[in-house]
Amino acid sequence: MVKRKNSNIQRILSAFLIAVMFLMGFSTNASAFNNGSAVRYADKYYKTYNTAKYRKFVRGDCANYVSQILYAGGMGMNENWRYKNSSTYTKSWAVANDLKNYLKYTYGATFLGCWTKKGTSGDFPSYAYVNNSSNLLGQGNEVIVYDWHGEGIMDHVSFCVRTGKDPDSGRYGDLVNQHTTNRKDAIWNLDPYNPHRKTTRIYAFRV
Amino acid sequence: MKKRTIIFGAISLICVMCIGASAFMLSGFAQDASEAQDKELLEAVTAAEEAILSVGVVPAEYLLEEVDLAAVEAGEAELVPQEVKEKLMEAQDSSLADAYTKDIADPLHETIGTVLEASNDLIDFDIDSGVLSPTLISTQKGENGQMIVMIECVGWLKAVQQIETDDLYHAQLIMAKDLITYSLIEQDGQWVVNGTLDMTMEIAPDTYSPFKGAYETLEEAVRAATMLNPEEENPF
Repeated sequence: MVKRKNSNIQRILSAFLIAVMFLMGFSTNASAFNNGSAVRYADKYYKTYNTAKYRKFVRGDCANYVSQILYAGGMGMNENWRYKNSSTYTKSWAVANDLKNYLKYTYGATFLGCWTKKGTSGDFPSYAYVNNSSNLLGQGNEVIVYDWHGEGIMDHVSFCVRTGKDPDSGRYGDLVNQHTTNRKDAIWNLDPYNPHRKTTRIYAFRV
Repeated sequence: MKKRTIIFGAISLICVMCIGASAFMLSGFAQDASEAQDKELLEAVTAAEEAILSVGVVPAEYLLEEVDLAAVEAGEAELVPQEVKEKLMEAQDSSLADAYTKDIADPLHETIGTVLEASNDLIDFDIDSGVLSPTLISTQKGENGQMIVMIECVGWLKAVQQIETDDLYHAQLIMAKDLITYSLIEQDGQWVVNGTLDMTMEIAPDTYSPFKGAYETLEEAVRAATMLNPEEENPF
């Protein structure tokens, strides 16, 4: 009788532990993300498009590309962020501003910082001559978003793949891959390529 | 009876012709009015794009005619002294105020000041900017008299920058193709931008290098950057 009671308690405890572990597995986003897989995908499809699985967005493919990388890294799709087919997908999959909002407010990505070229007061320190942001690690789990006119709506998104030398500008620092203009290993702040760099605000998140 | 029918027929024909001619003229007027409005809208958004690209630009003419660039290089003079900074800010504020509503133009005032101030500390400044091939893609009426206007253009920026790895002065021409959707309102009879709804910037492909030469002196680099021709270099 006592033996049976103990065994029931053991079963309940085991079920409880399994449930807790299951829930932790879903809530701890960072532990589930595979940086290596994300970077491999980013490098494989920086120039070409994975059209077997995803459509190409002609007027700006940046968010679609970064979403694919995040999915390749293990970020799970859900009703707020998903791609089903060429006509069924969430805005957060394909639009930079919505992807940023999803990562920040729903997914719970870690906000790493924000920058402008020459700094303004307070929240936006300068990135001039600081190609390696102290807040970025270049380890394949960082998303960079760009607001070209500095009005608070994000216009572009890229994925930080590694730290090294930008082959086109010769600058050393954290490097990103991106679509829209397809680039591999561009310096993270895109400073040498951006005529709107004085009004651009840049934000970074770790997934 | 026959005569009456002929007269009635003739009058009817004349009426139909008059109505047709009026409709034709009215549609012609409407088309002219629409074309005139499209032209005004394109001019307004082009001016907005030019104004925002010119934020913090230190004009090459001023640099070459009024600044001792060798002294700046040696750290013995400022590139943008206070009185020049105030004049440039006034001119750039004015361009922004003509193209944007106050709530957009005002916050950019601080950006202009910061960029011009920083030009004294870093050899990293812009000497000219502009827009190529502005094209109206679409217009549509928004709420409360707003117009939603999409344009495509190529924005360019001439710059001089010292890169720490080689200690030389680099002349740069940065170009990108912008697809922008602006909202505009009419203010004192002029269309002005009251918001950027969407902006896709296509930076130049990697076959285009914005670096157009490295120079040992600041003056050489400024002169070289001045000579760059955006129309000839345009990769789009």
